[in-house]
Amino acid sequence: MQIEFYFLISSFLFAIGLAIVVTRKNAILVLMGIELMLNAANINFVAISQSAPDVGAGQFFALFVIVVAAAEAAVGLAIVLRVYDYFKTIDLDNINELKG
Amino acid sequence: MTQVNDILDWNPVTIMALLVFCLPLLSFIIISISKEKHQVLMSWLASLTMLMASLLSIAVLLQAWSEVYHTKFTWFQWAEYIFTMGLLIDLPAALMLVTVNFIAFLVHLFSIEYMKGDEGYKRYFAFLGLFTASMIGIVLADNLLVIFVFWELVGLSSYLLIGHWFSKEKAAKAATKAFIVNRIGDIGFVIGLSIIWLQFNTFDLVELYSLMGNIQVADGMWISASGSSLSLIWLTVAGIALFFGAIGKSAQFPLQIWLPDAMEGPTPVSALIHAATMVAAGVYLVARIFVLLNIDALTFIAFTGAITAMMGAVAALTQNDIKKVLAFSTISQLGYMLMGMGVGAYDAALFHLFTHAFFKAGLFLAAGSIIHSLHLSNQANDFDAQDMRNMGGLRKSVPVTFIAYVLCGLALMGMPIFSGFLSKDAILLDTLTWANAHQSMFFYLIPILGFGSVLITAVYVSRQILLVFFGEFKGQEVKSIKENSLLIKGVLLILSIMAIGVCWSINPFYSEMSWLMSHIEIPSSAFDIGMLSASFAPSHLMVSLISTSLLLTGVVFAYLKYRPEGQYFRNYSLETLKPQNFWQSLSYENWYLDQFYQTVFINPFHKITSFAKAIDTHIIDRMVNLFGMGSVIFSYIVAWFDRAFVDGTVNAVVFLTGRVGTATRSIHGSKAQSYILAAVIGLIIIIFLIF
Amino acid sequence: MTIIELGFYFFSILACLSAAFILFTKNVLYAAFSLVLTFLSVAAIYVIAHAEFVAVTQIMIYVGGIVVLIIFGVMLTNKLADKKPISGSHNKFMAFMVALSIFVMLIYTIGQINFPLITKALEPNLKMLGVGLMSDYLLPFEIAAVLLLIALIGAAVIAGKKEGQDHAD
Repeated sequence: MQIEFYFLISSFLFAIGLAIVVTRKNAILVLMGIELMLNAANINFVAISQSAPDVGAGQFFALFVIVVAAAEAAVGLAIVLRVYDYFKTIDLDNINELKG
Repeated sequence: MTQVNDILDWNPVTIMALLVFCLPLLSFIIISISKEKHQVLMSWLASLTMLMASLLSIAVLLQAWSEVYHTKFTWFQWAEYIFTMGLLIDLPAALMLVTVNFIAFLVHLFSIEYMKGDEGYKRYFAFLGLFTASMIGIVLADNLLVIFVFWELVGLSSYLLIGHWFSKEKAAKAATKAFIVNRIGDIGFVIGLSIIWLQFNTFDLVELYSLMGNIQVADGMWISASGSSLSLIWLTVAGIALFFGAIGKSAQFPLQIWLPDAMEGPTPVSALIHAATMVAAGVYLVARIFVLLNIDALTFIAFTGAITAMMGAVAALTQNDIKKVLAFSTISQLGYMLMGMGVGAYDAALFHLFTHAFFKAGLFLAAGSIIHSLHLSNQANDFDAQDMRNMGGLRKSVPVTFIAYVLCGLALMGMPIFSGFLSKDAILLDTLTWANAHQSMFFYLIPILGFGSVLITAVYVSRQILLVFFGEFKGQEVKSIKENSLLIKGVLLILSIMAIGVCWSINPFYSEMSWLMSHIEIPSSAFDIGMLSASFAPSHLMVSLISTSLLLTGVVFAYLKYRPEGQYFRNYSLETLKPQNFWQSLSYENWYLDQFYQTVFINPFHKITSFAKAIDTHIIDRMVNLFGMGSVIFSYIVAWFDRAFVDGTVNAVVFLTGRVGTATRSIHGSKAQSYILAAVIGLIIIIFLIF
Repeated sequence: MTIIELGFYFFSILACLSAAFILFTKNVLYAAFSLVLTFLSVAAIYVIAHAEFVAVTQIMIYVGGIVVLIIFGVMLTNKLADKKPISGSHNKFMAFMVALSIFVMLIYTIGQINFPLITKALEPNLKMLGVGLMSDYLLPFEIAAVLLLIALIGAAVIAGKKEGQDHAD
């Protein structure tokens, strides 16, 4: 099993995640894109952890990334809810108080 | 010219004279601020003030009998020129002072009765005070500029008093006319002042006297002691220009038209201003500036005076208004005085001024007394109490007035033993001497005009006396005509006594013995005007005989023509009397001077003004309107240009900026995702650059 | 080709497709469910890469936690009763270009590197992970715990309704 396949998958997922973050108007979808990008990064860690010299180290990183992603998702969603309370929408096009 | 001796201190005489000036002024101020209910008291107070002024002026006269008093002080300074003002009291001034004050006092007294119950009673007395003060100002001032100031003030008070009954249109118009005609004369005065200033840099009379003594005439140039020189013609022009002021004020030809109209004023005013004092101011001015006048100017004055004397006398022949007869006779007598001045009879002219002041004031006040009586007897609106056609036979009802009138009238005619005889003969004598001194027969015109006027004067005075006092009363009588109160009678009697020659000369047939004339010295002039060292001195007796015989001829002629039984007298009524022929019309209309001015000056002026008005409305206004429309159109174009191009440019810039802003805003536009996108693009670029 | 390789390819393609579906679908809820599928596929890939514990954690936290949270979020921010939670997209071209260039760049970079082959197949070693977390990685572990605690408290504070702010908007 060649390790490049993992990298290919992760690259693709990362690109897709980036595209989601940039294009989608819905704030929750943007969060989903971020999670997807974090997962793409995790795939790399896990793939690298199979090989020497430091076998398994990548898995720790993956675990921590998952934890941070969870925290990020929790805080991010909380913020989205506050934004929704305030603007009555989470469409990022309409949240433009900073517009000059 | 710097003046070494700027200030001459006050002395008791000049202080007294100043007091004399201040008293009527005080009366003017007090009456002006007093209440209406005190007006009768105030008028008595004013008369008292005038009495005090008269007594003071007599005191001044006694002091000034043989000495000249002069006080002056610096008025203001302009550059290196010092303007002074002050009082110059010589004998003519002191005499004039007495005359003005005394007649003003009598007129005040007379007015208390005459103006009783008038609406403008208070105003009248206030203006009388103003007038008297201004007149005294003219008399006393030592400075041509100050004289001019008072000259104008006198004109103003004359205007105010002629227009006393300003609600009457005729009175208002007469006042305006008098004022405007006087202004025409004043233009000459101002021109004369300018020339004098140009040459001498001073207006002070005493300095002018001494400077004129030092001038030299060479090569047709007029060189003053300080070296400034002008062409000699300017000296003549200056004299004539100054005299032109006198022409206006003294109602001389060709400006005499205002005086008959001025009779619209109250009769005491006519007596004071338009007979005795103000109109004599012109003569007095000529006396004051006598040394400034050269031979040409004097000749001009003599001819003006002679012509006026004749014209006035002729115009007086056919008037129907009792006051207008007197007005024209005043013009005529003023002409006499100026004629006297012109021929160098300085003393005689002044003498005539003083005698005339008294008897003419007497005549006017007597006329006023008659008018007053008639008013009291008939107050119907259309009743003209001044028209002689409403009179006749009044000698029985107003005997005192009759006597006063006859006495003063005889003085006016120049009847021997009356005052007018003395002064008039002195003038006539000098004119004859003067004419003799000239080689040309042309100069005999003046004595001929003078003697002719004597004849005509006799005729019109007799005519007036006959028409007013003899025969039967012609007007409508409501109540019987009664003589006026003691006050008026007293005033009339005083004035008629002054008309008797003994008051003026011990020998009432011989003017040289007059206490007055013998003291007036003819000012020494640079020009040999005197009597021109007359080769032939006409006998005084001969002159007296000629004038007296002319006078008697006139009286006899008048009696024959105007006697109560005659045809003229019977036809003389409001309905029938019209000027019969050309000569009568000429006289009645005052030589058609008014019509002449109307045709030659006023009508063309009206035409010019209406033409100018037409030009204004049709051309200038139209041009202005066109210009306005043009500017409006132009501004519309500019506005369009503004909107289309300037605004367009600005809008284009704004639009462009907006577009650029919108374009750049899409990057900045508050879209977090755009920022992310930009960040990633930046990241890619960095990676490309690194690898 | 072993069954493992087949599984790897299958789950790889599944992950890519479901991720692409998230990108292209308009319905947010579908996207959320598609995300579940992606995460499960990724978990399967972890298993294939001998990281069973990570895979389990992935399923527990992502599928059981984060996606549930996201679905709650979707439901709280959309009135599902009357209409579908539709959401559009923008910046499509630029995003496509950027994503493509990132992808190409990553592939290119990876292609440049000569990676060693996976030499030995690892056995599942839960013990190794447990010891590692309690020894070598104790400090990051504790920090992650504190971070989680802070994040939870923070999320509760941020999202929780405050008195007086109810009617502010």
